[in-house]
Amino acid sequence: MPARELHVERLLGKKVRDVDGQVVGRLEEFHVEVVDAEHVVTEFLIGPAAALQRIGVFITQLPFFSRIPLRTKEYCVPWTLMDLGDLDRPSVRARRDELERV
Amino acid sequence: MKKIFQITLGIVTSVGGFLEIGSITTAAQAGASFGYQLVWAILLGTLCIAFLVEMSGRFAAVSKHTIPDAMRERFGINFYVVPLFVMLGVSLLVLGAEMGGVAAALEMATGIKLPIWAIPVALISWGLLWRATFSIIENGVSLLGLVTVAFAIGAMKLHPDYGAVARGAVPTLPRQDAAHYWFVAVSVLGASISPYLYYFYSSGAIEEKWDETYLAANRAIAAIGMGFGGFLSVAVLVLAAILFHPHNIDVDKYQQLPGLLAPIFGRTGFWLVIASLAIACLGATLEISLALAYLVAQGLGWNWGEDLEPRDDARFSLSYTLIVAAAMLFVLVGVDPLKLTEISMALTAASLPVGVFPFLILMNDKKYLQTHTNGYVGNAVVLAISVMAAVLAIVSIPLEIVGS
Amino acid sequence: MYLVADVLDQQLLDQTGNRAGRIDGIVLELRDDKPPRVTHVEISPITLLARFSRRLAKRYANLDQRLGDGRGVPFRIAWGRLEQTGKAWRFDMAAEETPIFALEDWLRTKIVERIPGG
Repeated sequence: MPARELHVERLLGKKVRDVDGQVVGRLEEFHVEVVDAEHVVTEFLIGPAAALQRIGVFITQLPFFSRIPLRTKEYCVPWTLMDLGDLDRPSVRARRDELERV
Repeated sequence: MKKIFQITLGIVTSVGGFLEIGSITTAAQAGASFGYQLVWAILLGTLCIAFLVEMSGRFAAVSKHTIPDAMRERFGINFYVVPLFVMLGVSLLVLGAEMGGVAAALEMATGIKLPIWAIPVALISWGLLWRATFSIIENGVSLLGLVTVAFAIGAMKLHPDYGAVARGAVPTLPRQDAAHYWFVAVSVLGASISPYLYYFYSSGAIEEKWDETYLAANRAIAAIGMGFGGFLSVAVLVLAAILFHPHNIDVDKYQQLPGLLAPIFGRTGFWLVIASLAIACLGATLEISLALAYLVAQGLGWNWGEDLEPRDDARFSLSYTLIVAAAMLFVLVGVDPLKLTEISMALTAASLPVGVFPFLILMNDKKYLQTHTNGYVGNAVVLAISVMAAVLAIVSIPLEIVGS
Repeated sequence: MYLVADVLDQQLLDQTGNRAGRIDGIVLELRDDKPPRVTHVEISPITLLARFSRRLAKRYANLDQRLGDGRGVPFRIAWGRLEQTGKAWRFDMAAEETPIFALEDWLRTKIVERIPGG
């Protein structure tokens, strides 16, 4: 089967849903490791989806504001659970509460 | 010895390059309308920019990145376009005001109308950017800018009530005309805390290949240079407070500016103001043009550098060419530089968080600064003043528009 | 290594150390039963614009195509040709030999060098 391509920068920020259709969050980062002399993506990091929460994350990076106990849900998803069949609607092959929280 | 010379030069050029149409006009308006009441706004603005300039130099020297470099890398292009477009928009207005300041000075010197000077001023500015090195632009024009020390000498010759000036350093509520008071305060803050200044400074530090050995020099330049520059702004306010305020004269025409020194030095005073305005605004024109070109070139990863020949960084060179041409249009169509200054300074204040917040995040990022991240004081001062300025601006700009 | 923090939007240098733009895009190869593999980076206004609007990117690509053969598509560098130096990434060619500098070259020859002092 011919290989498919995807662009990291276009996937960045896309909403990710779980098997039940629940929003898990938005794709934020791609963890790469060297496996068999190849650079491969082993994990996907998913951050908060809501705009206000994302603004909150930005604000808490400011000095003094990092003490604000902002609770956001972030997930680390291994590549085996990531479904990139539809690049406009990436999803995970598990329920949200089964995913590893960061 | 060389370091001492560089520190001295840095301080002197900071002083000489501090005043421009924004700080001159807003300080004059503050003094004319409210006497010494708004000295605190100048001091607060000077304190904030001194911290920002020091941070900017430290950031460049330690991380070997300019601020736009690091902003694109740290936050990504989708975020970067926000400060990029906000700063381009607001700074283009400021640049139009500065070029208008040069043209206004030439109009007052020759009687030839302001719009006619648009193209010559643009060509001189562009010619200096095209041919001169960074050193000549930064040091040469700023050294000439020491003529603005005349404002300090003039103020002292009037024997102001230093006690009253000192009392103005304490913020007070306006006794009348509250909307205008806060608008002028905000314009003063915007004139002092111009983002182009510290963005330019970080690029300058890279152009001059600063490293960690420059940190002490950087602190001295920021504190003494900006401090003394702020002192010159206070001098302009004092002059207006003594010469205009008692007669209820508001500064709303640039033709009134020679009135700051003419009563003290006669005809020489007139020429001192003309020279100060022309040189100070030319210096600011060059700095802002470069700062905006740096913002674009560094954000997009192009080759850049004032010390390079234009053929070696064609996109960067053409960027500042287009920027100068665009700003020139304000002068060409005859926009009053004073009015443009007022609104652009207020908009600068309103948009401060857009430029300052990401910069503060960078200044606390150990990946860039290792052990040289910000302390509590620097963080607190910059955060508090920029938020205060923005809130005041958002409130006062509509009130001023409604009021006028 | 993290692709967004360490690769995307970072400065690219050519083999002589000249600034050659920023990494505007990263291409992964999706494979059955294997993790996605990093294959290329892209340096191009087309890639950059596509991060905001695919339509804008397409319009730019159409305009760029008129400037010559091989234009109108993003320039790619194979992942294996890149080496990290500090925060920047260096690739093993001179930028002038690639389309990266096409616009810079065009501006230099058609405009800058025709202006005195350029």
